[in-house]
Amino acid sequence: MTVLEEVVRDDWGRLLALLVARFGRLDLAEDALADAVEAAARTWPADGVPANPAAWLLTAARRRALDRLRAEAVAARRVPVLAVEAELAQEAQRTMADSGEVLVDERLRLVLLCAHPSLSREAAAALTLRLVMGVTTEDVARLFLVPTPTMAARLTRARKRLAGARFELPPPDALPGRVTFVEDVAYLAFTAGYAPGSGADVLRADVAGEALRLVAVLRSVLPAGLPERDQAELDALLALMLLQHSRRDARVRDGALVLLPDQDRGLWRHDEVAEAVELLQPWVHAPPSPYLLQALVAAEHAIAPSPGETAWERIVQRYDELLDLVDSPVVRLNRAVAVAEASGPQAGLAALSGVALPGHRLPAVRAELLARLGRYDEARTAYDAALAMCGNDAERAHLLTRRAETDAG
Amino acid sequence: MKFLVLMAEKDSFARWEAADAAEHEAAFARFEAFARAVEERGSMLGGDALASPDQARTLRPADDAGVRSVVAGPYAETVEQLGGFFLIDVADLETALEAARELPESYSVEVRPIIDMEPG
Repeated sequence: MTVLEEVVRDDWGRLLALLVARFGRLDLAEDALADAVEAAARTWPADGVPANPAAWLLTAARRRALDRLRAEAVAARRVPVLAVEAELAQEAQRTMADSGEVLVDERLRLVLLCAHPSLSREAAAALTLRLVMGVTTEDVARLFLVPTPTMAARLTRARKRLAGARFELPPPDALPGRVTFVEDVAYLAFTAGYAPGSGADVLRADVAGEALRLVAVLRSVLPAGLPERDQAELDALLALMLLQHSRRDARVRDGALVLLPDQDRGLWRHDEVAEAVELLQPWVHAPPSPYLLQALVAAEHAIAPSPGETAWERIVQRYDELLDLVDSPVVRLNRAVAVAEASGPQAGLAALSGVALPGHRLPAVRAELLARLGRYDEARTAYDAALAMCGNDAERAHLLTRRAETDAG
Repeated sequence: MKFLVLMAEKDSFARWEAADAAEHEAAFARFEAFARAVEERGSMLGGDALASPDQARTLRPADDAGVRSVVAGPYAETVEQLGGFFLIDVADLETALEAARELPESYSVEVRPIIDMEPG
């Protein structure tokens, strides 16, 4: 990774937030910073990397933004601005005028702006990757499996929707609600990477990694004193992502999907598992909350020495608690899988009854349980239903293999 | 009648960069007032901001040997820097000057008629 790539990775969100604080405009701040990065890519190789690369980018971006403002003023083109408190704007201005260290860190405002209630979660996730994490539009498009122009248009619409929004920290009592939305956005982005709904990849570790980084950033920029339950959820979300991400190398073998029981546990990243377990330690006996329960389930798998030694009863119990909090078909499906492991496929099938969920996962689980019961005709019908709805190539291959095995049986 | 309105200011570019958000806002307000004043009296044909003089290149007249050199910087080296221009269409020079008064007070504004080439 070049110095420039590193600075963009580590400082993009911070620099952009500062420019937004000063100029009150996403488009201006983003274009200016992108121009500065482009200028750096052109001049640093010849002139050498400046002593303070982030400050160099900030100064260049600020000049660029001022130039454009002047041009817009002459052309009498007024562009709506975000509402930024005068004090913050001045602070940002001072930081830039000193052209030294980036002292104010307004990334939290930027994160909350991107997770604005007026945006859909999908749009918010894309915008967050672009603005906070500095992922290029081409890469965001690749991550969400759409052509670059489509993603560019989608991002533009999202930015326009935010024109006139407030670049601010919500009052303390409203903060947890906004943080929850950011968490959902991050988890959505994570899922897009960990279990892509379509395409050829079994897993896209880079997206999952970016989403993980976002939650780590969110944790580092949030003020202390978040209510205990919200802190537990944030720590649990990071732990949940770490646990799932730690299995990335074991999840794919020769381009094919490898399910949890068949994974080579030696390939799991045990340092990440340890980090997650440490995050969860203080919360094991905390009152139940959604991410916490999911993380505790993931942790059960992570600490089981072998699939056979998994504490399935405890997992079923966690799912029962989760159902009390959020009764969703996905939770019921996952619970049924655990029930099948704990009490046999017949009990699993019974737990599936009444569950309605679009997509391939429900018929795939049903097929698996039917096959285990030796009800092969019904299993094949269910595999066909799953195959008809599955858009991910690797998962399709897995389903086809399993279906073929029922023919043999 | 068409006029070219040239805006120059002492150390215009450094001043703009050093100005704070409130001063920028004040300048924006003057530009808007000018645009309104022009539209009330005639029409705005166009206008643009110029990049800083250090980005200008001037093709000098040929020397005795017939060589034309390109030098860095603007046509005239003055303290006042040309920062932008407008093209406006109003009744007469007096009206053009009236509108030009709306532009920022720190500017020196040259208003010059454009020669009409339309037969008329």
